[in-house]
Amino acid sequence: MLNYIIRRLVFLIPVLLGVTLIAFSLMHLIPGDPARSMLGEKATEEQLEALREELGLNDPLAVQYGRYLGQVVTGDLGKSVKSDISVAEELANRLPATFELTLFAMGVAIFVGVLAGVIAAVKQYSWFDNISMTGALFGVSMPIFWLGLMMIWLFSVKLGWLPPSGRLSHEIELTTITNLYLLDSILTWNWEAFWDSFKHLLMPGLALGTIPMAIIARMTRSSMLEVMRQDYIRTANAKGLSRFPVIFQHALKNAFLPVLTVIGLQFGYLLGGAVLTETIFSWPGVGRYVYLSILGRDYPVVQSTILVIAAIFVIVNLITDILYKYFDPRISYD
Amino acid sequence: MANQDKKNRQVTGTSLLEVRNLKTHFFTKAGVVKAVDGVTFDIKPGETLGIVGESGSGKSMTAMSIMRLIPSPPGKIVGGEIEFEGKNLLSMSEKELKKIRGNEISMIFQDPMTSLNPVFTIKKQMVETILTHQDMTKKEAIDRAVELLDLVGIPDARARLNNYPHEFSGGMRQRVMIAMALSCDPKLLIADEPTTALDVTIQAQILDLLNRLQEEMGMSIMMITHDLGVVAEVCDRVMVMYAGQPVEFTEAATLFDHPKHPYTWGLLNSIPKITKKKEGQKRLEAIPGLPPDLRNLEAGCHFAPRCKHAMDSCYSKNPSYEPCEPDHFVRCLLYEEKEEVLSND
Repeated sequence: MLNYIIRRLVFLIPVLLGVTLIAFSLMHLIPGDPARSMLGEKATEEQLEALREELGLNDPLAVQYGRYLGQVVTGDLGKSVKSDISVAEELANRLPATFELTLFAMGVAIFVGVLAGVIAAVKQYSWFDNISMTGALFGVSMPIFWLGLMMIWLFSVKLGWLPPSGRLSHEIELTTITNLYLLDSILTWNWEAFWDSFKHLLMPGLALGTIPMAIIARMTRSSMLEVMRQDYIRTANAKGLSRFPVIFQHALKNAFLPVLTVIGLQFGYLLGGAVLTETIFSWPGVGRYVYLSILGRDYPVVQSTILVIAAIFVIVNLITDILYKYFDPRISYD
Repeated sequence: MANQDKKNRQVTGTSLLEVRNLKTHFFTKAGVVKAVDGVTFDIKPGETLGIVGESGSGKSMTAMSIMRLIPSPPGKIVGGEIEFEGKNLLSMSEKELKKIRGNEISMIFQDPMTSLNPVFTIKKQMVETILTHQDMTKKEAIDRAVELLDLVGIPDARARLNNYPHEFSGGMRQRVMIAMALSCDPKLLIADEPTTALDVTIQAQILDLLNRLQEEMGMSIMMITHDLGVVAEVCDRVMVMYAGQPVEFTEAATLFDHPKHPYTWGLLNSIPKITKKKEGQKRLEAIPGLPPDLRNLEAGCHFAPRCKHAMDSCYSKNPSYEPCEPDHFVRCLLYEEKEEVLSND
């Protein structure tokens, strides 16, 4: 097992190298002069030349790539052209917000999706099955930006129940430890901040989690339906076990493998979806940062953020692969 | 030889299980499938009853009806009675049934490859059965599981407990299934084709094991099989089923020596026999045709279209299930109408 993890970690290197190459090419695939596209039409020739020199655009491509790689390896992700702040620093500030959002969205999606899928399968063709699966169909088809705007309109504008943007109200004070506000407020026993940050998290979390939730629910249902017909479920019933352990232990653990695959893949989707969600809800995370940087043509930022997001995605997939072994002992990695 | 073994065993008169006129139907879009249609038999304490028939004759569904594990919908027990030690299983609540399943009546299945849950260790699967029915600590349950694995002949039982099903061979898995089924000293073990999926040598081992365990523990066994060789090996009495109905029911020895129903004749004739050439080899006789579609059964004897001895009345009159001799039930008009009984050829 340990061998396998090490082998997989070594395999990360070529994957991430590929990502750096793509992220690097981004700057050079843009038609025209990158310096011009960054500074705009009104920039003078001197300003452009200064930027070109600063970014090293006058060197041969291979040299530029080598330099970029050297920086990345040493943890230097470059500086924002606009603000002159180091990208690594900005990401360190924003990643926890994105983590909080995606973990919450995924947590809700897994909990509700799996539960709904199991109940729908056990009570196949019941009203619950019909309603939840129709709901799931709607959930999959709903664009995040539309859902997000509708939620803001209803819960913030009309009903005034939930705040439309941000992570925490200004008047609330919170000592940060992990920068995951929900967790920090629990750690510091600050229930006011907990409730406030929860209210801020709820809408973006649900908007982001809806599509994965719907996909997980449908996948769980079909997987459970298949497993419930297996001989070992008949054996479990014939042993006199109660319904609960038969469904949630014997059946679900077998049915979970395909669901796990979907969850792993949906994580990648969530990182993409976070760009939209964070933009709509002004969530101060990486997604919104990327969005603003793309608008501002801040290429070093975009380049480095892509690299970080790609690395997270690859690591999530590695964790998924390792979890397979827990759910199915027949899988061998050696 | 098998029958000599059985002399050591106590078979007493009163019935442990009585099934009367059981009817289990499946309500599908294509029509009502009468999978079990009027099955009557009893099992005495300590006895082994064989239930024989082709695939689809209702053997397994009879067993699942006794366990009350018919998939519903579409299946439903629409009539009859099942009494276990005088208690009516058909009127029991789900909660009462759980105390019977795996405890007083337990079951082993055809395919040991798929009957054990692949993602749990043997320990988990055995211990949960024991703890469901018995007041024990987890440690005691583990000790009991080791004892049971020893009993069914799994070497190095304590270490094997932590293995997963895929780490056992087919025969060993069936032994694990048997150990699990016996974990609460059941009074009745239903064995649904327990040897069908196994190699011939392993089959014999498993049958021997069941015989031995029955002698030691004294439970009754309901042995479902399509193999008359298995019947000869282990059964005291046999019921032959065809198209959801019993067609003949008697002592195993009687069935082999004096079979009455034409379907039983057909079954016996289709067993290959090793004979010397000069004793006259015969071509193996198959029963012509196919079992009827259980969705639209026509009037008359269901076996008539395949029966060599069918008379005109067989196609219109339903034969009743009556004893033609004491303790020998048969469902055939040949005996009802007192026609000259055809000799078995």
